[in-house]
Amino acid sequence: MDPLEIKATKETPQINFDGANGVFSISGKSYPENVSNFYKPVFDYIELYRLSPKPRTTIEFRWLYYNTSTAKNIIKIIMLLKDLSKDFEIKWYCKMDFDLIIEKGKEIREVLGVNLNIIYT
Amino acid sequence: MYGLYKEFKDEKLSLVYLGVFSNDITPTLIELSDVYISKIERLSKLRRKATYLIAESFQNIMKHGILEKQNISAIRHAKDFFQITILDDRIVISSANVLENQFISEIDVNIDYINSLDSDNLKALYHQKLNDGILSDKGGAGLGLIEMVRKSGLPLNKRFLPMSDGFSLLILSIEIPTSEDLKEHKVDIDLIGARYKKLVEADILMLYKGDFSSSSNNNIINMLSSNLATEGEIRSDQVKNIVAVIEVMQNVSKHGRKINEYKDGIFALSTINSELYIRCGNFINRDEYESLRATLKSIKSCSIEEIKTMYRNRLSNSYLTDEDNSGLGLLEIARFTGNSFEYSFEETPGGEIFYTINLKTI
Repeated sequence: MDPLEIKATKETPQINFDGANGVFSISGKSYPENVSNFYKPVFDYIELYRLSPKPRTTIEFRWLYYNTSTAKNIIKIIMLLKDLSKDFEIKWYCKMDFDLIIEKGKEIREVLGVNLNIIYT
Repeated sequence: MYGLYKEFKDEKLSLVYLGVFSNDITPTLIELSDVYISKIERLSKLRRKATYLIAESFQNIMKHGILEKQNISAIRHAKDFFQITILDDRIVISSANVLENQFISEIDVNIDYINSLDSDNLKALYHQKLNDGILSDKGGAGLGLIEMVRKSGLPLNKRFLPMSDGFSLLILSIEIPTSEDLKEHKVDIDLIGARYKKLVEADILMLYKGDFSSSSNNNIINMLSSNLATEGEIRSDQVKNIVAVIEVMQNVSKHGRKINEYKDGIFALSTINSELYIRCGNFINRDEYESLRATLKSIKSCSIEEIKTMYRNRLSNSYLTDEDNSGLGLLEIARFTGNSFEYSFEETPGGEIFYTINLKTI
């Protein structure tokens, strides 16, 4: 499976999806006005990965900030990936003092009951 | 907020910036104006001139601004000021900065002299200054002012407003008309001075009046992010403010009422006692008014714990709908403000409904 790379812009994050190794990474800012358009290739890629998932799937987030429309897409990405592999982990990287992003990570963990590890950088 | 909007209503676009000036925001100022200018045929031919003059005027403020004099008590509350205004037939760039009275006469004479020259003499003066190569200790040679007059085709408009204890405010305004036949200034420079005073008294840091399309919104958000960053890094204590601005502006973009092709509105940031206040006002469609009012009323009647629960419930189910608007925006604002945000609706004489939201994150 070829990797998916989308370069960051001022309003959209860097996407690095490596389906061959089961590692999915999203980092930066996300507040595109038309969020569905931006995340469409992301979901298309996940649909392909779902056909032959790896035994271990990891998704890494490194957020500066994002809007509520993006929050909805983060939930959808996690919901699509979480039951594919026996071993599933969310790595939620953030700076120690980025309270808002830390809270958002904890909230996702509680709301979805998923294995989300907050990793301070 | 509607009162403020009315003061700007004849301006197709206005961007006012007061306070700390840095080179980082020059490209954003240009991009933001360009979004509008490029859409209007009669204005689009001014793009190159406008880009040059915005950069030149902004550089001028940066060189001669008050930042280095902040410890002088008489002007501690003064702010440098920069404004881009787009009217039907011209672009107007205005600036204001504080200077010591001892420099007034020299600047006054210089500007009057430049204004009195025709285009050939202006060109000659420009080349003479360039060849002399005498730069002032501020890094300029008066070339900027000459270029402003040469490029715009109209004289520089100026006014000195006395402040206190030996300082005055120098207001400069340059107009770039769409036609060479337009020989008269349109903007009253005294009104720019009055606007400056009003906005300083209201502790305005930034004000935008114009279209809330996605490209305009993103430029404002980028400008704000630069302003709230330290050495290029977003400060953690400003993340909530940035996200709140994003939610407020994108809400206008999605639900604002289009009048004459534009989702016109006004957005202002103020700093009072080092705290950032966000205000936004725009027209909404009458058929959305009742539902928005009901939603806001319902949110305001909830405790902060209830709002958190509502947010979480909606977040966990949000992936089930395909709509972009997840309905989370207002709940996020309520969470960020401890549910202390304020809103109002005002019916205009023309029968439109103007919606205002006012908030401070905690």
